[in-house]
Amino acid sequence: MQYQSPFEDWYTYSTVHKPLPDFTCETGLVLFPSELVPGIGHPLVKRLGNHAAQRVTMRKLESYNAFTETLEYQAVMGAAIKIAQNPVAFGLSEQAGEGGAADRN
Amino acid sequence: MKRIPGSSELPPLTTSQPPFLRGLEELERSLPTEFADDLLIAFVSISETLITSILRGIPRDPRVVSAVRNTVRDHSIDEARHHSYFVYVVHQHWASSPPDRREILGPLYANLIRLFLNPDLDLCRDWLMEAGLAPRDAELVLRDHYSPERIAAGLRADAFPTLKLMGRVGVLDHPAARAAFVEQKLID
Repeated sequence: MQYQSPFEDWYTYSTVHKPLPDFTCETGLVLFPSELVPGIGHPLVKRLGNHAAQRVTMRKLESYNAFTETLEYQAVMGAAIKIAQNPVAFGLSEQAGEGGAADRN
Repeated sequence: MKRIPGSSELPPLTTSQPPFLRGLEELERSLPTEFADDLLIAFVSISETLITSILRGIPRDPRVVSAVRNTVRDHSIDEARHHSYFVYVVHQHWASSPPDRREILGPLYANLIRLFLNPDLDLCRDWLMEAGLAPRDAELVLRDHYSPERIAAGLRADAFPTLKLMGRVGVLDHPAARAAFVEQKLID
């Protein structure tokens, strides 16, 4: 009997496996919305010139990416594995336990 | 995370863990050993049901370069699926918990929301000093940017879907949990 995986077309609809999005960087636009970057509108930072604000904005983007990566690898993946291994411990059915791990592949 | 070589390459600033990992370790030490898995599931349930201002705003923000907008949009599509799944996890985790587990889990949700959303002030201070501010000025800028009122408003906005969920599931009907949410200034 041939095994039929429920995830045969996973590569088609999983966002992480789709082609990379457009990575164009247009001039005149910012890397991160200014209101989400701490202090770049502050007079003390403005006094340092545009370069300072750009640098802090780059750091903000860098830290957002690093935070997301750490969260996914060190917490979310771990939790998905725990759920898949013992879904009943968290009040979940066996089927619901499979769902959490599958979406992380 | 791989660094892209070229003009945007930044020297590494710090190798310390993000505060949420340190906070999780501290919480784990303060809780009964058998609660470790519940702690991780509760933390991830919180992180996956929150919808931060970054995920909400950046994909539609015309001021932001398309590289960042598209990447965040891509991530937010995945997160929307995870949100639905972890809403169910929170519901089942809470509903299946006996009273003694609820006594820990309820207040823990409030602490975890704070832990996840609190700004990393040490990291922000490093950025400002790297940009050229003296330590004292960096402190002033941080104090102005992260006023208690602004932090509280940001927390409630980002935590809004999770707070609604906590109400729906019944966490906020639990006296100890409700007190913790009030103490963390997440509800009145």
